[in-house]
Amino acid sequence: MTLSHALSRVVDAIDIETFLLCGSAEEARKIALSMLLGLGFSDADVVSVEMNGPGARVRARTYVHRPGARYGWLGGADGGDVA
Amino acid sequence: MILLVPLDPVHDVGLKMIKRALEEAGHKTVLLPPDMTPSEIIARAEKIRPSHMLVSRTLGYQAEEVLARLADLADAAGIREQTRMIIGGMAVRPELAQELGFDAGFGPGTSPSEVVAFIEGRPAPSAECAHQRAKKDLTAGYTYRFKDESVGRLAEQLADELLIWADERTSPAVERAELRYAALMEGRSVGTDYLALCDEVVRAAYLTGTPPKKTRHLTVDEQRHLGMLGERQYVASRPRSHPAPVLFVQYGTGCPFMDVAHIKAAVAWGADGVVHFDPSWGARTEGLLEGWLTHEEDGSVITPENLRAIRQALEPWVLWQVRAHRGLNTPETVVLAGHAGADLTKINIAYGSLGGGTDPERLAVDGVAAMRWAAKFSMPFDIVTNEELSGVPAGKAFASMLVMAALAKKVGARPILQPLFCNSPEVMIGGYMSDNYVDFNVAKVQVLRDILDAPVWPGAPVGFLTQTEDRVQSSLMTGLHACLAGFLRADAVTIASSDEAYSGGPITAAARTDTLTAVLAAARFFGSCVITPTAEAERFKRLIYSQICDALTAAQKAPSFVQALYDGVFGSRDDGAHPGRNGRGTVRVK
Amino acid sequence: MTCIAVIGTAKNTGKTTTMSAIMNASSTEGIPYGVTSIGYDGEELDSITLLPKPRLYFREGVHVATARECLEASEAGFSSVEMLPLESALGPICVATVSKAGLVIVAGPTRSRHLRITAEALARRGSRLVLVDGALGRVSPASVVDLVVLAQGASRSRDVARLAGECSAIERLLALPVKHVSMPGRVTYRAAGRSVSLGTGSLMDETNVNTLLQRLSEGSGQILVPNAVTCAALSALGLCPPGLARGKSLVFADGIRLLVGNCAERSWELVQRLFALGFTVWVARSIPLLAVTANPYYPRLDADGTYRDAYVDKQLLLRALREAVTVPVIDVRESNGRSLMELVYKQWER
Repeated sequence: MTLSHALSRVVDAIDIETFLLCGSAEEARKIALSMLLGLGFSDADVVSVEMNGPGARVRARTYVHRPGARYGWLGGADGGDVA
Repeated sequence: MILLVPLDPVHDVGLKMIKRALEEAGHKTVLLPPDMTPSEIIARAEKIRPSHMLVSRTLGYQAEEVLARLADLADAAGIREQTRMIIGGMAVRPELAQELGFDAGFGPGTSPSEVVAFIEGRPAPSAECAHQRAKKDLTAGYTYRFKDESVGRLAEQLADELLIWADERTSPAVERAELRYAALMEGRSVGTDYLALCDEVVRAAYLTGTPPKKTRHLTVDEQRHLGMLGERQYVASRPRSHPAPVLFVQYGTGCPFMDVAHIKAAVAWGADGVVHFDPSWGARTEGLLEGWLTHEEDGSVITPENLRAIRQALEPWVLWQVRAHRGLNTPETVVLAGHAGADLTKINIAYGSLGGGTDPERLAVDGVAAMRWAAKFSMPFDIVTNEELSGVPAGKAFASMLVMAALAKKVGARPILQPLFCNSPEVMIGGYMSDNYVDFNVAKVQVLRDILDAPVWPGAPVGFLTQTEDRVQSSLMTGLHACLAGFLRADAVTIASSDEAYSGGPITAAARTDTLTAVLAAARFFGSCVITPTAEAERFKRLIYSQICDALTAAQKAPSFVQALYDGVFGSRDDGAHPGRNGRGTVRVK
Repeated sequence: MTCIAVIGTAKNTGKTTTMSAIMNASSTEGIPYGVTSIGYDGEELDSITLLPKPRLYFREGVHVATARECLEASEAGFSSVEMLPLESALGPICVATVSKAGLVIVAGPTRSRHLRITAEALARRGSRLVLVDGALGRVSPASVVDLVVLAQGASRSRDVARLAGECSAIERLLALPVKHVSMPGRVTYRAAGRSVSLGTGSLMDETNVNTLLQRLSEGSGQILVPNAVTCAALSALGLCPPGLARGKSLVFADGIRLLVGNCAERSWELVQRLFALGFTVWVARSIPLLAVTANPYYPRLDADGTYRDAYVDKQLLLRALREAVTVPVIDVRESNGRSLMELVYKQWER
């Protein structure tokens, strides 16, 4: 399965959740965003970040299909095929 | 005789549960020890001659070969004619059962009763449920009698006066609703008389075909897919292990496709009903659009076509609410919702004019008309009190809600009381939730119950301003609030997604399943236990009750109900409520 | 009507590719045919490895037997849909004729008796050939077919010598001599006017076999085994005193019943021991092996937990298999099925 095929099945967004060792919530936000950008997702945002002690619990998000777009999972559209 | 075969000793708990269910249903069973070879199992089956062989096994690359050999041996041994072979376990689907050569396959989440039903040749209970599950009438059994006579007398008087006042007036929305109804009944588009009552942007959309900004028409291909999407993703109702109130989730991603995907996911995760959210500009714009429209921002556009598409995608037992409550299209939205087959709507003159931006006079006229339409379509509606979020004290919001309930009763409609479960400005300033989130919410429901015999549907959604952007915290808060509604024997509850506190983008399907999972897990945890509020709850009840009485008394002294709204009786500028301006000056005396 | 089953030794050995090749060749030759499967053909991706799987493309006019819900989900169009009184895990099995070409999800009868009924229904539609796709390493329903094509591949084992040994054993077991007898319903011993039966139709384990051996008397006689025989049972039979074995005919229903344990090499070894003891071993019905197809492909599980396409040396595999069996060994991807059709013609000429 190719990446684009796999992505076509995502209903709307992909969240990446992790715990980052860092010094501040702002740093965690930057790291999380750069992680998504590095993975090739430009539509990136940080949904939640909580900094305590050694690091931050962070959830970053990228929308694969925003409402109103043409969805891969609808079939026929972007090569996605829902059997 | 039913032979139970655990091929995997670690995962035979399910098989043991099924064994118990089968025995309770009067079947004889033999449970084989784990780790027998396929030929040993078939040798036993030849001797026992069971009617069914139930095999449990987790799957991996090798496990498939073992199961295939078992089916093969059973066939070669000639026992398949007397013994039906069933496989159950992780990752088992009917397609896999077929590939392995079994007669049926049950995946994770199968209840023992489904297996018993299959063995007895009955339809699976869940499928039965999906077909026969009647939509729950949330208002059944309620008399709408005011138990508190003094409050009742005040509310009824105010309702009577409002009714007389409103019946002498009309508005563009009231007239559009009539024209829309006629058009729908005749199966045609609305005419120029309708367009004359609309704002320019709506008129332009009809006359030039240009949809408003950030919306576009679905392509013909997309429309076709939308029809198919609903059919393709048929969702069986998931039986609840524990009772919980009728569970509503909101949708309104902007796009009917995305809505259907979200609705299907929510229903599969345990939602009983769904609530349609339209774009905020829909409340500020005179006139409703037609056609298949998708919207790039929050809120799905209300058109006859969009509503019909969503209706078609809903399982027959799923309750469907289309909100009408707050804007310049309130009566017409009720007409569209009722015509499209919605089960419920939402109307509140006070909230719409104090928290929804609509002029009180205008919404009073429109709201009464909307209630009459709701009565005509036999469509109950909730009286939402979200003005609390602006800072209106609960008691003031409840006072107008009770007037609305009395009004609804007078026009033959069936209202549902919708108190918020929220950490509202009033609560924050008063410190009412400094110890817990329970007492104040308990007090709200109990006050209403003591006053009026009517259904209660906390919402919308519960837990407002208690959730953070963290999805665990958010889901847990939602789950607990929903359970609190359960303890209070609420008739329904509306829950948010775990994206409730996130405003950076559309709510995701995963965020919907997060909170549904939390609600069902919390319901499972508490079962039929009860929660005991602290003594503070009684104090809060007295506080709210006195607010209700004060507001109703003040309103009665005001020249009219509408004037009371302008004057801040049901929520003042000091509280944080500002009478809306949309539609000001559009009411006409007949 | 000739019914041909494509059986495999495991998953991903090339059954569906072989089926496609025979279907193409039959279409090209203009032979009317019908298709069914004893498993489930139609998934885009393997459920375990998530690698793409071959799917069956049907031309117009081809007959098919598949579960009703598969017909509904298929891309092709159908006419004259007839429901058979057979249930599968995916609902009742239907026979239909393709009216619009396309991919079809094929999920047919999973057991012998149902396969026979299905093949007859396809024949009634005018199918001269009925093609049956196997599933995993399942072979039992092939008991009711006329010819077998064996799909052998590296997915079974990366050890080419082992693959060759297994093919040889399967060929030999399918080529056991035929003794025309009418099979009773149970394991039966017949000798000089005497006939005793066991409680079962199969020899599954040594308990069965020991009961049988206790009933044997010296001298000539026939042991008829209508159903399955496992390696454990063959092994127990091998402990029969030579005095009792001598002069006895052991008649199995067909060669397929000796393959159901999925341990052909061991079965063949044990059958040879029975010959050595003095038994003569027969089958009541011959199901000849038409050809072997070789598939060098296997899904390799990599260190990161994902499966990837991998291959053993194709020439090495072909050479090893060709040395091991007397029937033709075909690289289906290259031959395009024509050579298989020629073998079918030869069978028809006989």
